[in-house]
Order: sequence, then structure tokens, then C-alpha cells
Amino acid sequence: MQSWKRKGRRKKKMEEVWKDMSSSIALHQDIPPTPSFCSFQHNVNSTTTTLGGVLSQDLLAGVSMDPFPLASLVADDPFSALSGAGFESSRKQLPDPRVDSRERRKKRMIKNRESAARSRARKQAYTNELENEVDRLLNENHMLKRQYEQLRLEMAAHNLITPCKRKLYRTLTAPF
Amino acid sequence: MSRARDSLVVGRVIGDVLEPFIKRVSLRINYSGKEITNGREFKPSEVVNQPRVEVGGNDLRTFYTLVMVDPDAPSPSNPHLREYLQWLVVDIPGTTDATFGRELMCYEPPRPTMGIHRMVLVLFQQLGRETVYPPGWRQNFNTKDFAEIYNLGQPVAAVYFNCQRESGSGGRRMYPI
Repeated sequence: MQSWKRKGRRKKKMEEVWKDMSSSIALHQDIPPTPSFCSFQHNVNSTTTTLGGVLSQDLLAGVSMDPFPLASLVADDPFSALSGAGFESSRKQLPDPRVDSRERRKKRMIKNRESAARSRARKQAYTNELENEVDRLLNENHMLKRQYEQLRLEMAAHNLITPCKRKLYRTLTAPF
Repeated sequence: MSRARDSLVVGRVIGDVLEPFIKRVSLRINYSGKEITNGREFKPSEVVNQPRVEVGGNDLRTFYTLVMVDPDAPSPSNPHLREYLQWLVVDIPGTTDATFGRELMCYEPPRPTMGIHRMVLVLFQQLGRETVYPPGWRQNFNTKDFAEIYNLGQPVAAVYFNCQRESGSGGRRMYPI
């Protein structure tokens, strides 16, 4: 739905869209400028475009390095492409199978991230518990040993413990 | 200092099931001698019979309620049945074990089908021997609400273990369901 009349009013929004695209995509892409674009993009530094009105990094990643197919598209109908950028990308979303698979991929990534987080939490909780147990048992052991030593000293002080002498004991008493 | 709380926080038991609390009473639970420590793994075959639950405290006249829930039912990635009530015992006298209490919801052995589930056991101190009504079904139980309705206050102890399918593969889906 391209309209020459609307181009003027749309221009602001389109430029915003171009700015967004250039800022996000310039980081990822390295598309050399196409000759036919330069005259239309006086205030945009990078050159990107839309294909069928749907803008995505994935798409550009697939198409990017060769500027010529894009240039030919643009050369045919430059105004439609430009006005399409501002107009269509804001409207068209779901029926596109490419978008669906992207959504599914995103959902799977989120699920996987959550699962990984749960796994890490599980592992950490177990290790944490073991460490606590170890500390607790070491302390208990230490305390018990000290108590034991103290009791021994007290008992020895009261002469309740006699040194253990080897004695001879009768082990068997046979009737014969 | 209640160190056990750390594992409960890390394992997200505090968060998903309970609010932070201070451990006041000892709670020692074992399945055929194998003691439950937070995050320990038990197979369904090991937990098919109810465990021995030893409650601390120092007074036979203080009564305790034990709740056992599975917050990861039917699957930890989609726990729409959270929390599934596995066991509910009330009027357990202090210093005794759960067999001295009154079983309101009989012990149902955990049977996780998907993922690795946490099985949480929580102990509450009762104000008296109030009449407690068990819920009509086990799924979508809410321990916090239950405690509020029966004036059980904050938990006095809690412990949890992990449980997955007998032939589990650590939560990984090997075959499409």
C-alpha cells in the first residue's frame, strides 16, 4: 500500500525505522553501500533494506554480503521499498512462517535457559548442603573430642583411671 | 544460625513454596535408613513407602503438622499442578514420629514422569489440636494458604529431596512424548 501522498507524512517514521535498523544492524552486518541507495539515504550511515517489508537480522544475515540483489530490487521501485520499510514492518507479523520458526526458536531458548538455571540451582544446593554438613560434623567432632579429653583429665585427677597393666586371665576352665 | 535455609533458598524451595523462616525444631527424615538432606536424590523405588519422620521439640504436649508436596508437578518446566499434595499428617506430638500423628491425606509415593522434581517436607507447629480439614484433591495445593487458614504460622522446619523417573536421564527428553 504505497502512496505518493503519504510519503511526506510517513517520512519521519521511516527515518526512525532506518535509524533503528542502522544502529542495531550496523553492529552485526557489514554490507557495503549500494549505489542506488545513496541518493535516498542522505542521513543514514549504513545501508540496509527490507525484503517483502519484513525486517530482521536473520534475513539480512542470510542475504547480506552480496549487495547486488538488493540493489536491483531497490532500483526497480525505490519509493515502494523505502515507504514499505516504514509502513509494513510495523504492521505485518504472524502469518509469516519465518517469524513462526523464529518465535519457536526463541521459546525453546527461553525454556532451555530456565532448565539450565534449574540445573545449576540443583547442583549448587546439593554442594551447599554437603559443605554445611561437613562443617557441622567437623565442629561436632572437634567438640566431642575436647569433651572427651576434659573428662579424661577429670577422671585421672580423681585417680579413677588406673594405668592399664597387662594381666593374666584364665581364659578356659575345663572340667577335666 | 539456620544453615539449612541456604540450601532451601538456593534450591528455590523458599520462593516457590515457602517464605523465609527460621528453623526451630529438628526434623529428621529417612527412607529405610537413607537420610534426607536437602537436594539429595531418591529414586521412586526408594520412596515407595512412607519415610520415618522424627520430630524434635521438647514437649509431648506440643503438636506438629507435616506437609509433603511436589511443587514441580507434572513437570518442572510447566508446573501447572503445583503443588501436588503427597502426604498430610497432623497432631504429631513433639519428640515423637509421624506414626503418632493423624494422617489426613495418606502417603502417595512420588511418581514423577517428566523432569527432576523437588519433594518438599514442611513441619508446622500447631497452636492446639484444631480440626483440620484435608483438601478434596491433591493437585494445586498451596502450603502457604493452608498454613494461614489453620493458623499454623511460619514453618519450624523444612527439607527437600530430588526425585525423577526410575529410568531417568537427568531431565533430558530422549524421545518425543
